[in-house]
Amino acid sequence: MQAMIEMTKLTKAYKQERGVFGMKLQIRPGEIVGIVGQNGAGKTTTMRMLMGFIKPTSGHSEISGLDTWQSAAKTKALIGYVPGEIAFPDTKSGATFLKMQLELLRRSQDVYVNELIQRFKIDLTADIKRMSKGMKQKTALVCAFMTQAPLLLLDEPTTGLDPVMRETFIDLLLQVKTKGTTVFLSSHMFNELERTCDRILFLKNGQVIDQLDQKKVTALHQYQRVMIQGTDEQDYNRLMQTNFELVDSEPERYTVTLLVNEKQTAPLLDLLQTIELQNISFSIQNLDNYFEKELATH
Amino acid sequence: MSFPLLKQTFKANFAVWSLVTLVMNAILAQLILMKQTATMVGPMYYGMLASTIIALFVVICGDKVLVGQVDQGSMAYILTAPIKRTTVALTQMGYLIGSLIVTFGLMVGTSLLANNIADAGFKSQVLIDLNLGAFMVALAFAGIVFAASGIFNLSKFALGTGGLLVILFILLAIIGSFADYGVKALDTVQDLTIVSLFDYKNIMIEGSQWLPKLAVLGGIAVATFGVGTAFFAKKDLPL
Ligand SMILES: Nc1ncnc2c1ncn2[C@@H]1O[C@H](COP(=O)(O)OP(=O)(O)OP(=O)(O)O)[C@@H](O)[C@H]1O
Ligand SMILES: [Mg+2]
Repeated sequence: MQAMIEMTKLTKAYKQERGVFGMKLQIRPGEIVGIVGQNGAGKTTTMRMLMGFIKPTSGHSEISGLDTWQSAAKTKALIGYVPGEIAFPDTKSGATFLKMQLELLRRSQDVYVNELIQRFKIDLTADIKRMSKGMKQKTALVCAFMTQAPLLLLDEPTTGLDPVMRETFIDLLLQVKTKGTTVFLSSHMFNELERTCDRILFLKNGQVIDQLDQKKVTALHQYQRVMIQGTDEQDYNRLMQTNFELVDSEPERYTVTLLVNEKQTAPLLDLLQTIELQNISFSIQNLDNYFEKELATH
Repeated sequence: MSFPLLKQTFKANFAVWSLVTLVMNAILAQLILMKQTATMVGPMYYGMLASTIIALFVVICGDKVLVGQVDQGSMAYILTAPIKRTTVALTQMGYLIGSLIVTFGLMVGTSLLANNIADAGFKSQVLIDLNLGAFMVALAFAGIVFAASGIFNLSKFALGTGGLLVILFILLAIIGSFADYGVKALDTVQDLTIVSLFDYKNIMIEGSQWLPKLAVLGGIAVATFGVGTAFFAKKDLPL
């Protein structure tokens, strides 16, 4: 089957070694793939290359077999896009903007568009220049989803959304997934990617340095983060010398945080018996924790 | 050309365009209608005012049609539609040229009508040619601003080059016009501005030198509109 997105050694080199370097990626139709990375990692640059807004320095990318730079006008017919920075044209209200956009897309305001407006609780009468960050973001999301395009490119789609709207967004993502829509989205929030993505790429300094699939995510969840507080220096030293993976330590409070997997409960209990326990707490290892580690080690 | 985009651009620029067009027609009619001022139609209106007022529209809207929207980020929405960048540039260019045609077309009507009412004594052909000349200056200005608008991604750079150049040409034309009032040293200044390629004096004496000069303005317009379109189609857009 033809890949929806195919990147081959995709590179955009800006000055001072910034940009995106040698990105290789294949996304199948119907897949939801997330890309995470710190500020400046290259997420937006990747999206812009896929949109044909910027020309790769070397390598290339294709959408449904069409070169994203050469055939940008054709590939656009396949894409719904949410830009990383939302700025609307000078019009009166959300309603006039959506109408303009539908005209450009040569579509009419059908049932689906109205459904989207309702789901995101968009106030169409609001002055477009006075819209709050979240309102703008929601309007931009409606613009992308209303294309009903087979591919959605969403650059940090949830910035500015309140928790309820974030849920609405996730629901919508899962809904379009059932229709076979391919989604490539970027985010700083690992946890929302975890619920929707088939795969999550970790981008650092313009390079994909790690890739998590569902299997790896499940494996991650088998770990617990255990925070143990001892009473004195002796306890602390003992805690520091275990075979468990150390995630965090606070010598002043004689506290360490260890990574413990399901099968290691016995050794953990043994350890706890050797110290005078002040406090202990468990939390599930999630992607945020995982990438925290990743960020520290690379 | 994309019709929906043309419609959007028309709406977005309507206020500036209509105001400029109204002011230009009103002043022109006024000058022709009042007997004492009819002599100033040439040197003051076509020599100075016409290019200055239309420059307002050209600089503001020429900036807004491309670079303004790239800088602001709203161009992203236009370009998410399956539309070629060349088509976007050509549509915006079509808007600018079309608006100028309507503005100066209206001015032809206004001047002929006022001339008729006031019996100001202008030959119809002279009035038509004067408006054609002023239109060609406006077209060349529009091309220059459009080129800057297509080349740059930041409004301030486009205004600082294209916009500034247009203002400079107008200033030089105004300074140069004092040559007509006896300051001979300023003659050379007139060679520094494209505004003087619109030879209104020659048109008014029904000479034959003005037409080739207007062709030069046409050439500038073709080149600059071409440059703007070519750059806009190829450059990186931060959207
Ligand atoms: N036009 C440009 N010229 C020079 N450098 C650029 C340009 N665009 C982006 N960069 C640099 O490329 C790097 C990647 O930027 P990019 O916008 O892709 O990051 P990002 O992952 O989207 O970050 P954020 O999370 O802040 O949105 C940054 O270091 C940025 O400064
Ligand atoms: Mg970004």
